[in-house]
Amino acid sequence: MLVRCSLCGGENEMEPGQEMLTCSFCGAALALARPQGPEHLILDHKRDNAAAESVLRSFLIENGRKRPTETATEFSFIPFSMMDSVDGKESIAPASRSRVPAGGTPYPPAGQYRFFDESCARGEKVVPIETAADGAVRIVHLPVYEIRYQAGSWKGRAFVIGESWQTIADGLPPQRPRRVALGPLLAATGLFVAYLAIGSFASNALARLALITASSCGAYMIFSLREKASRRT
Amino acid sequence: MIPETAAGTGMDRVARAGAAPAAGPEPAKAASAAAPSLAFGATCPECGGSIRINEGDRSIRCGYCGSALYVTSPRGVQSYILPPRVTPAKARLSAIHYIAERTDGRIGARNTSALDMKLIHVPFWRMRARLMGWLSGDRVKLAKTAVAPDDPTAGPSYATVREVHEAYSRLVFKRIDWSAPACVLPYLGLQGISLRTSFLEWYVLDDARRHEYTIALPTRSERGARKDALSYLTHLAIPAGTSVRASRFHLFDSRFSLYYYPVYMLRYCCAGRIYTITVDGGNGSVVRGEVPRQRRLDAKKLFFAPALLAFFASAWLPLAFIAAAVLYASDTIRAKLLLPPHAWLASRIQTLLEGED
Repeated sequence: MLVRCSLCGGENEMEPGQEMLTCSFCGAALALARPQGPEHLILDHKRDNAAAESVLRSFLIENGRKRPTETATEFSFIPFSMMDSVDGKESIAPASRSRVPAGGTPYPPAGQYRFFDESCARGEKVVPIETAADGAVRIVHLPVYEIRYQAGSWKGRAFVIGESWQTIADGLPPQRPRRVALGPLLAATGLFVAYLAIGSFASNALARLALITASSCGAYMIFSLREKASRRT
Repeated sequence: MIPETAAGTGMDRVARAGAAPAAGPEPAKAASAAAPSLAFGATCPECGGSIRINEGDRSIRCGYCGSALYVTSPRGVQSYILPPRVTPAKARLSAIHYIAERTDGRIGARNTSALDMKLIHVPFWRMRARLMGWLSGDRVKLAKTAVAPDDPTAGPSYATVREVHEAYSRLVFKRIDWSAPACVLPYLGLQGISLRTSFLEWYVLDDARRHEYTIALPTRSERGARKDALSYLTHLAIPAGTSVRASRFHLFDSRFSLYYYPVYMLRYCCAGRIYTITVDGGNGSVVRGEVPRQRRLDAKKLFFAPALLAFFASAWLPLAFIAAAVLYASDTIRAKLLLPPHAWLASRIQTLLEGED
């Protein structure tokens, strides 16, 4: 935001949170009072649909869900009210009725906040403030990606917050079936057959139990010793 | 005698800048159309020269006439910044070392691809104050008492241990130097840490540095920070092993300042998943890092589960199927989820051999 010096008339850029600044033309200290209403800020962010979609994919992989396919991404700057309660606790709430991220509220990311200006939105959609909360000290327009996607036959949507890359979703696709690792499965099958073969040498159940137990314990001990030796090296 | 500066009077006539517009149909356009706001400059009351006042300054000296000036109503809080001492390349290197170390060399630079790296100056509140107060309560002690039996022939004496509550009261008078993050950044892992402000060389955050670096906005208010500090310090003042009945604490002469500490946030991708690593921009150490989890082979299950199954199968083949059916029923009841048998079998084998995620 531009601030005009009362001494020389020079225009100076002021950052959010600043209350004093030095005039870059005449060097005078300029004093600014806190505004009566809440500060209106916007988080500087360059739209990157691919980055947001990869964040969503990562989120679904982390939760063991099906991968998203056929994504459609919409981007907009959505307003949120930041409140500072009497007991010193901060909270954040949506300041618009439409396009509210379903499934949770984002925390304000760290980044370059600027005083609100249409030009900061870089031509992207800006959702207007509709319901500024009482006692809001700040209203921030945060960059939000709304991604509609399909995972198998499941359709849903998720919100990704720019800069912090926080993912908010009210529903998740079904769990992804886990792939069986062939190596351990083959090893287990081999061991099973070997134990069966060893057990066939015994004449009764008790002897069979003893033989299988001894052979499995022996195999486990050899494996553990080899593991320890390989870790040491 | 210290004269008042013009800042003391000029502050009343300042422009109201950056206020959010009232909720309405076209609020955004109204804000963007605002003309440059007017701010009033402070001049030395002695010589009329321009003076420089940083945020939070209480006393300054005029650069022209040398007069000592007292700022009657200082604006803002004193802010300091630590320029990064670690280059982005070094930060990236320490992140790579961290990943390799945490994964036992399983994952190195070639298995990962760095997505982006940002340098953020994270604000921390620093409070210097005096804590005064009192507390009273009970101190719990364990007392050991030797008890002789009534009948001397019954055996030797024995000891009993019982709790003894002693009332105590305490006055607390401490000089405090406390710091905590001024914003909520769970993904950076900086919650609950404090700065060793006294050991670092800080620079005053002036306009040039403010424009040079990415400064995170302090979202935690001074009031909130004071409350946190009081709660934390009160908790510290309570001696261990005591219970408090009543207490009262106050902070006096508190001076708040903001310290902006450099932190690198690196995001990298490994096998489709994105991980974040936070590197301290002051000393290059990793503050917090996410690394791919290693799915370790559960050797015990790998060797003993087939052994058990082989025993069942060799004793009486249907016993192996009965054991599997019991396990299936047990899993279904515990998870309250009915899976098709083949899906259950695949999941069970996977869990049995490789453990849970």
